[in-house]
Amino acid sequence: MTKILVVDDEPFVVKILEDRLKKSGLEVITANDGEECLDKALQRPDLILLDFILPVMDGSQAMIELKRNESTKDIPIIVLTAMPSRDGGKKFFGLGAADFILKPIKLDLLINKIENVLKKQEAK
Amino acid sequence: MSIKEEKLKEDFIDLISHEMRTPLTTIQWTLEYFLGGFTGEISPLQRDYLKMAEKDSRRLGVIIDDLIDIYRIQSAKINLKKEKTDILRLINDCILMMKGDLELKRITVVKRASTYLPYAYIDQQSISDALIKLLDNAIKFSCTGKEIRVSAAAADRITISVEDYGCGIDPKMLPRIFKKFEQLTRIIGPGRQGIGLGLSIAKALVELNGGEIKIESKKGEGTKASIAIPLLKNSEGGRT
Repeated sequence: MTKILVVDDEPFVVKILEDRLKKSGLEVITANDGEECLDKALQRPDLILLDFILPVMDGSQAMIELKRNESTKDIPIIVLTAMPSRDGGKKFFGLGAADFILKPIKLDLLINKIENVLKKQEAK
Repeated sequence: MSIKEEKLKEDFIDLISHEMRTPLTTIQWTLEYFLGGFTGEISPLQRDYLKMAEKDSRRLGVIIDDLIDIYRIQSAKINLKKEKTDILRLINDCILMMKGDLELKRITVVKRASTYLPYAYIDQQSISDALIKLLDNAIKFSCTGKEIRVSAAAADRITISVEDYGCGIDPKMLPRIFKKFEQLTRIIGPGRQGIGLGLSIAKALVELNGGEIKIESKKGEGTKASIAIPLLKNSEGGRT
């Protein structure tokens, strides 16, 4: 089963994403900060849905660490944030994000984007 | 204003945007979750109320986006990330984003496109934002159960058109509709909603991409809004 790691410090965001993704037949693991994200990423999820403004370790540092680690560097990351990007997501793509999504986004569209990234990853 | 002050102002705008978008996200997701039937069956009355709440939460999202876009355009803070773009895919994504509003008014979208469409060379986010604003207007001013036509054709540029069969706009009023803060409701009539920034922003976003926006309308018959955007040239990796 495809495994998604959802990382967000808003408990309700995590809960509703977890419930909705599970309804789409995906396995979900969760983390509430950047450090926990690094730990959970060792469980080799197929994709990480990462908020950027996070406590303990922010999304930017978490991405750097994920890309530095041999066992997590190939996991595609979708940055899902409520913080607008002034450079069209350039910063996130520069850090190795597979996609960048600004909240709020329709859940159906989010799932569509997750599927697209997973398809691209499979084709690699 | 010094560079430091400007940076503080930008950070403040980003922070406000973040603080408004976060609760809005959970509100919209909750409503979408219920409407999707994931919590069990809902009655038709519950569905109507939830759909109204969903519509208004999206409207609030549009207002937040509009205010931030206006600020950025005025400050020329939009940094475009122009790239090779599959226009049909961009159109489909935009239509999907409007799914809730389309369903609410039972509006069908009829898509038409040239069999062969070259890639465009645009900043996807800003053109998506502009197209969503055109779709939003078309839905807003269409009657329930009507049709909206979305077409894409290529010549020296790619033209995307959104055509509705709504109340239309008086031709004398057309030059005014791109004016910032102009209430479209004042032009078209009472009973409509919105703060009138959408078309001004769409125009600015399209022009930032080197494109053009055009509105044709006949009162009582409908409105056709078109955006013409640059093609990907061969030197930029375009199709030959």
